[in-house]
Amino acid sequence: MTPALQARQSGAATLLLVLGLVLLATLGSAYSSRAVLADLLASQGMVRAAQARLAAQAALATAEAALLQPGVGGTGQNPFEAAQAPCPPPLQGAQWQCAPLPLPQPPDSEWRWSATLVRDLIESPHVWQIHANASGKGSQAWVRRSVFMPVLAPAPADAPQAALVLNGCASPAPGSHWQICPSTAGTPCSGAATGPAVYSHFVPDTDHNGRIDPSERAACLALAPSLLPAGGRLDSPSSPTPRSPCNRAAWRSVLGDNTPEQVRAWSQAQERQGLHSLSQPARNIYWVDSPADWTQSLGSANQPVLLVFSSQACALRCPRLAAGTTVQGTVVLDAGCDDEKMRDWQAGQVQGQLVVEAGLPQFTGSARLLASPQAHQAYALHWPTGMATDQVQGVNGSRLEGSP
Amino acid sequence: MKARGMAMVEALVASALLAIGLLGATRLSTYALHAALQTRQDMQAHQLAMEALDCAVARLPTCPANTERMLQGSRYRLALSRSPLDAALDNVQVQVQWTGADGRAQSLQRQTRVSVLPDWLGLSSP
Repeated sequence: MTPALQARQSGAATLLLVLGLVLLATLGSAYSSRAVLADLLASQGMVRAAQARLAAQAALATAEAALLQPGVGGTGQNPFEAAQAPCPPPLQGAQWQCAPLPLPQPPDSEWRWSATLVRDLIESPHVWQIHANASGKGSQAWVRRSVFMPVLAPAPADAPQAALVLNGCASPAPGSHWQICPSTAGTPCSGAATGPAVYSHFVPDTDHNGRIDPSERAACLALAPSLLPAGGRLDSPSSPTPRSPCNRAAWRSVLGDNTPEQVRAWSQAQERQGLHSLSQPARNIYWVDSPADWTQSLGSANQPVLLVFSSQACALRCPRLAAGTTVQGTVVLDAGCDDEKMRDWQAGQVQGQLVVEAGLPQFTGSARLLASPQAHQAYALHWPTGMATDQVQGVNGSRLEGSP
Repeated sequence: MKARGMAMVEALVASALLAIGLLGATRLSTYALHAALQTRQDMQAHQLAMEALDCAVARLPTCPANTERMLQGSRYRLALSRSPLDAALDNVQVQVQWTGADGRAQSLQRQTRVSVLPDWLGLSSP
């Protein structure tokens, strides 16, 4: 090998070595840059997800503010009456009612908002879940929270437990074969009574002495022992209370501050959802405006119902319950303190409580009224003790984030 | 003499190539380092903003309106502000400011909304 050739080869080897070193350095830098770029992209993804969560929170707050507007939830302003929306996947079934809550979109924002209201029409129609969603920039987030809505009122804790609650006097027609049974310790309608059989909010103070004497009570509630096979007291307030104009004492003692409009709206919502006596779960609130006699048996021991015959149904005379009809739960007749609308009234069997906003003169037929501690279960909703139930309030601890 | 000259030229070319290659690699590494530092600062600022907004959403009485935090050698200034949108709704905004790795002032804004819906603070099961 000549010296010239040797020098050329040495230069080529140096070049190759240098190129290899440059390649190594470039590869090393590229790998570290790639790791940094991956971190950068992951961070941007996390930031977008967090921003989506903030936007969903903003949508939730906007929905809460919309529910705080005066009158929302009342007649004509109930979002559930305005439209329907598909329910989120885990909340399927006729008892779940879902509705969109229209929200103004945020100005100059890359996020789109939406909110859906969800409620359980059987167990808790007064607890509305707000499902808020925000999407944009390739991210999406959900936030939900429950609020107490004053669309219904609590049932009174001290509601009378009698089989028959009246706002007037009662007397049987000749030949009637009613059985009025209080709650008993053992077999229904036998054994020791554990509560009153009949409670009347209105007993006339005939001697005008300012109190209701036993004789006045006995004259007003003229029920022979044969009508009371398990005994039980015939109760009334100890002091007279005026009934005219109609004080709705029977309604209020059982349904509390719930208005007829609220109960009607609840019943109509259940009907619109497709709930009925044979559905699963079964419908449990019935509001009846028809004056026709009632012939359908309703309710069960585990799922008692509330059956209300409205003042419209009782416009001329209150509908009768056909013989052979059994209603398990509470039956309310809104007779408007007019005894004549209940004259000659007859019934089938009521296992729970019969509430009449009037007296019951000359009741007839062969009815059976059995008091039951479960009578109020259909409409006795859960309200926390001590809570002001006429305000919109958040359910403590109900805020959740993540997929619906 | 001529062969020695050739080797010198090749050595110079090799050195130039090495210098250019190493310079590029160094610049790439510097850029990556800078980007990593900036990402870290951005994420810390974002995290501080989220903490401040979470505090505001939870309606805790101890949420500071203005505060400074020192994290990994960087100083962050937070300013939390509320502006009413209507009687029942507030817009809550937080701004975080810090000095970036290149010495320039950086800032970040995040916002959400909070309603005045009261919470029932007793026991409630639904």
